[in-house]
Amino acid sequence: MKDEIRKYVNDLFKGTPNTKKVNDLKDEIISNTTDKYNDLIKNGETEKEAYEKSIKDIGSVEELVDELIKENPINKEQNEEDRKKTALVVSVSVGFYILSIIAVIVLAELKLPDFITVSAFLVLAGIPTCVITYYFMSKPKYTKYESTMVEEFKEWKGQKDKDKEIKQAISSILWTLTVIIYLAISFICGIWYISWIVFIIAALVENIINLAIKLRK
Amino acid sequence: MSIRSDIIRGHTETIILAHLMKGNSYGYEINKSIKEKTDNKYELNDATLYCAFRRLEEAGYITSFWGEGNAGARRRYYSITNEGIEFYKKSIEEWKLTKDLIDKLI
Repeated sequence: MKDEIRKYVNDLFKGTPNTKKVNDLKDEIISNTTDKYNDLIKNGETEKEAYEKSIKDIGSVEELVDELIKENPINKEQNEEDRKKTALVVSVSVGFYILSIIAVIVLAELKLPDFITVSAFLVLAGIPTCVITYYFMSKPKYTKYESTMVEEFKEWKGQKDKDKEIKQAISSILWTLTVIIYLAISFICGIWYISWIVFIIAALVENIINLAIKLRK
Repeated sequence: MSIRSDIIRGHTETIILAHLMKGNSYGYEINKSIKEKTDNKYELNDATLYCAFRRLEEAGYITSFWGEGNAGARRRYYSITNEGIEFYKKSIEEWKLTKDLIDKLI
C-alpha cells in the first residue's frame, strides 16, 4: 500500500516539469501521506480504508501542482537564452569553416607558397574548433543544490553524460587535426602516396584515449 | 458546532509558526497537532498547508531541510528563523487587539 501511495502521487505529478521544486513537493507529499497512512493503520483501520482516507486529502493539492507548472516560465527563458547562445556559437563556427575553404581556394589561385595556404587554413579551421569544443565542454549540465540522494543521482547521471560529451569533443578535435595534418604534410612534403597512414594512426590514438578514459574510472 | 474556516484560514501562517516555536517539525506532525489541540474540530487541508509552507519560506520566516523519514522516504523538516519569530510575535499582538475589539463589538 505504501508503494501505491508513491504511485498515486507520481501519477498526480505526471506531466509536470522535472524541477527541484516539483520533486521536493512530491517527496514531501509522499512522506507526509505515508505518515498519515501509518497512523491510521496503528489506530486499527484496514489497509484499504487507511489508503483511501490518506489519499483523499492529496486531491486538493492539484491546484498547487498547477501553480508550480506556471512558475516554470523563468526556466523556459533560461533555456531560450541558452539556445540563442548555442546557435550563435555554432553559426559563427560554421562561417569560419567555410571561410577556411574559401581561403585555400583564393590563396591557391594567387599562387602563393603552399605553406602560407596551409597555415591560413589551419588557423581559420582551428579557431572554430577550439570555440565549439570550449563552449560545449564548459556548459554546465546540472548544478548541484544540496546533497540528497535524489540530487546525487541526478548529478551522477549528469556526470555520465559529461563523460560522453568529453569523449565526443576529443574525437572531433582528433579527427579535425588528422585531416589538417594529412593535408599539411601532403601539400608541403608532397608525400601523398604514404601520408594516408595518419588516418590509421588517428584511429589507434582514439582507441587509446577511450581506453584511458575507461581505466581512469 | 461547525468551525468558520475562513476566519481561521487567515491565521494559518501564525498557527504553523506557533508550532515551529516549540521546535522543528514537518507537515504531517504539524497538522496532527492542530487536530489534537482542537479535539478534531479543525484540520488544515493539504493544499493550504503546502501553500502556507511555500509562502512562509519565500518570506524567509521558515527554512526547510531534509531528514530521515520512515521507509527510506526523505522527510522535509521546517524550522523557524529569527524573522519568523519576530513575525510571530507581531501576529500575536495583532490578534490580541483584534480579539479585544471584536469582543467589544459583538
